[in-house]
Amino acid sequence: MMIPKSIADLDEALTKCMKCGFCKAACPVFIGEETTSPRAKVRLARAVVRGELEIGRGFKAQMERCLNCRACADECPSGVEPNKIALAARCGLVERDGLPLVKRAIFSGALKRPRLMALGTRALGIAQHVSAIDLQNNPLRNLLPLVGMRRDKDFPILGRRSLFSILPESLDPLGEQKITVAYFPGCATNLIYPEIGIATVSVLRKLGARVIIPHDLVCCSTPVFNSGDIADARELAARNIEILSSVDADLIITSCGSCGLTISKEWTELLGLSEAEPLARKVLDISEFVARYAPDGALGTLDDEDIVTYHDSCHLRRGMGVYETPRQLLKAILGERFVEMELADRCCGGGGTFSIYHPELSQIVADTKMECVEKSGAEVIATGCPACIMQLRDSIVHRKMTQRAIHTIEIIDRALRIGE
Amino acid sequence: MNNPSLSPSALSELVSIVGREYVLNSTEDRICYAYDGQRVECLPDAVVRPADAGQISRILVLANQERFPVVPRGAGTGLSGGSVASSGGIVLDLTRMDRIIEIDPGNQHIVVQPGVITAAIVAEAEKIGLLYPPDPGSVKVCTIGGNVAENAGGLRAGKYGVTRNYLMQLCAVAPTGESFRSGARTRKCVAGYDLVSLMCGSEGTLGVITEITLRLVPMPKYRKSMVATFPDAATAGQAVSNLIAAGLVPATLEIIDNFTLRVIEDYAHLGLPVEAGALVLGEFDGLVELAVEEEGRRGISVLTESGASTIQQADDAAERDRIWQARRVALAALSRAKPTSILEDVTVPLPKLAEMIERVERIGRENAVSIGTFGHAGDGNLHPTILTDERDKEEMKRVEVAVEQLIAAALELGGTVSGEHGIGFCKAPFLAQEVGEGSMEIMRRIKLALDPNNILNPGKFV
Repeated sequence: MMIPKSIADLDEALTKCMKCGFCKAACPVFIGEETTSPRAKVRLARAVVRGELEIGRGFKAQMERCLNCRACADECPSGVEPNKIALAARCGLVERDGLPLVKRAIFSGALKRPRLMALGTRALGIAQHVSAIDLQNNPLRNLLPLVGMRRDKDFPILGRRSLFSILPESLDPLGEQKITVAYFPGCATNLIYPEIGIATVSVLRKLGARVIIPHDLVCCSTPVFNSGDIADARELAARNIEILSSVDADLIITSCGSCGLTISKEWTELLGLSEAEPLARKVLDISEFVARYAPDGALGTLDDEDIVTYHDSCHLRRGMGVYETPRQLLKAILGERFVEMELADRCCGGGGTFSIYHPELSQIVADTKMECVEKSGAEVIATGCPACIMQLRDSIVHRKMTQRAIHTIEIIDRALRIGE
Repeated sequence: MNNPSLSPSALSELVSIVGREYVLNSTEDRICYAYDGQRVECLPDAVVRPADAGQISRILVLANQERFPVVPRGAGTGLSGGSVASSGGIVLDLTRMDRIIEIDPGNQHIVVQPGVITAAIVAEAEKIGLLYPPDPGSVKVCTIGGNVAENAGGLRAGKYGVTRNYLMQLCAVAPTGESFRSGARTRKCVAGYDLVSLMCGSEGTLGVITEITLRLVPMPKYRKSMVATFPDAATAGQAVSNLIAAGLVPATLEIIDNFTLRVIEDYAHLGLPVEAGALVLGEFDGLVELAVEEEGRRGISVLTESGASTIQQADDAAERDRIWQARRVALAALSRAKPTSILEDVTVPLPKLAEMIERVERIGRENAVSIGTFGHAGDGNLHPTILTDERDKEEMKRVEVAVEQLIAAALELGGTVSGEHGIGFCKAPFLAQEVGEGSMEIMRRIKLALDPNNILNPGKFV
């Protein structure tokens, strides 16, 4: 479903909803009050379209209360996508009321300037270092609730060197070249977790890929359109499309469920950019690349590893349809030390900027996830998306748990014994 | 749209009973509590979310003083308008009362609050090797309180019965606010009027259920699934009747007509035999492997003798899954085919199945409306589903006529307007036609005796 020009264009989708309520079984932010359910979002949007309801704070609050985890869309017998209806409503609201100041500064300004982003992140990193805010007993933490954050908020360590400053734009394979790939690391990997990018590139090179990492790539646009800012999202997407189209690569590799989903589907389907179609067909999640290109026997076993469970990134699983492969790879590497947790496909509560704007609700969603992690007995949570890692680590700290959250590719990289 | 019947003083009293955050009356909240799973909506004046029986009792006393309607609601997945506030007043949202109180493997019972989701009961029972058999289509979201109030059925009713068959004891609050208990945690109980059965299926008109003790049964260990194709739906219907008449008791026996079959295939690409006139899907289950195998064998021979073109059996879980996949996606496929789908619930005595199916086909043809029929044929319950677009006013008129004719046909054949969805207001115009004026009068007297001010769920079938 493409974002319609106005909310009135939604009529067809809104009529399709038969209000069976099956979506309520899956929605992580539905907490008993009907108004918080996906079905209610569809109904409220319909009320606005049909002139039964004035757009006000209540409507806005419900439309913003969505992780875009797509679980409701999966449950819906009628093919309604309540998440996209909420998204369309947010777009309508942004068009009407504009973006909040902070988001406007980031989406219209910083995200389009990769160097500024890198600089800003480093500046924040210095502030983080000087203030020692990471220490849980730092008295400065008493100020956090004033800006809507939890006192014990876990901050990712910022201000390390970005992936783009660590790795060159082109890297040769370790052995014989079999393929050329473009790697789209995404902001979180580039600026916050470069180790995920390093592991991904390492795996790609071990498996015979020449890797191109264009350093002028910008944000994939997920957080931007999720906030309802379609104009800036299109601009970001268009810039990425231009850059990626000029790279002569057989595949576009992603290591982030959200980036992967956005490039492979949302640029064309949601943003309506048909020029992204040739790129969309080339997108492959790194785990799928490993499954497809690792020669027999290349993937060794790891004996030292703790017990590992796997958390499905919503966008990787329901968006890109990748969920069996990462599990198969982890099983191959870890054997019986890989355990499934219950509700592995339940959202962690991150939802991009959702965890920042709805810190309490985000942690209510995380409660379920972390209970399942605890019950699984795993010491390590592997997942395929850096945004989930950020949320999982924050949730671990918040609950004083001891588990570690890492990217699946970090385990795979260690197990892949080629060129060593 | 109704006139508000809730005074500001009543509203503030409600707030003092349940707390500010549990009284919802914004326009957004009211819109979201105006609907259930059927099409007609009515705005309540407010939504109240009580925490326990004590609060419910106080709310009902207040409602009698102030004379505002109270409409109990679970998950709002009903298909007859039972939880819609058709006369205004408050919707009483019972989903906060969602505790599983105890489970007893020795006595094989479970005690739950009304807001527990039915699937959670099934899961809890499964942990100790027991089964709660009623499985309405909305089992993952609907609440047990709603199941009891509507006497919900499901796919396994032919062998295992419906919600009523699993009720041991109920606690409830009467319309005038008094708490009462009926039934016992025993296999037998004839102590006084059977108020448990009276409450079950009363659709929230006679009391608010606050605690439910359900009987559980041993989990069947063995299953035998099969799927048969038939040249036409009536032959398939007759085969189902024959199978039951032969003394066989399948856990599930479903029918899918050609129209639905094609819609499913278009949607899910399962490689279904779209040329077949109808499919019959059956499953036998039990605790003894040999018995299940024998029932399966006899089932196959009855289906063969009844004119099945092909029969396929499931030998393992994967094949079983494939067989049932078609049935599982039936509703999804039908509801995606057209913007609006209207699900009927007619049920006939088993020997009349073939005739009912023929009538459904004729009614669709004569009114030029698309009707897909699937359903729980093994218990005579069909779900003819009319596919339309509610924005097409002209077609909607023909749809209404078709619905009336479907119901008339079911009644003529000695059946009922609703096997498992309830009457609410959707089927209220047809109730007298089915049960007769004498029965209607008794129902009205019961209602008047228990609810003299007509507080609980007014404007429904009674």
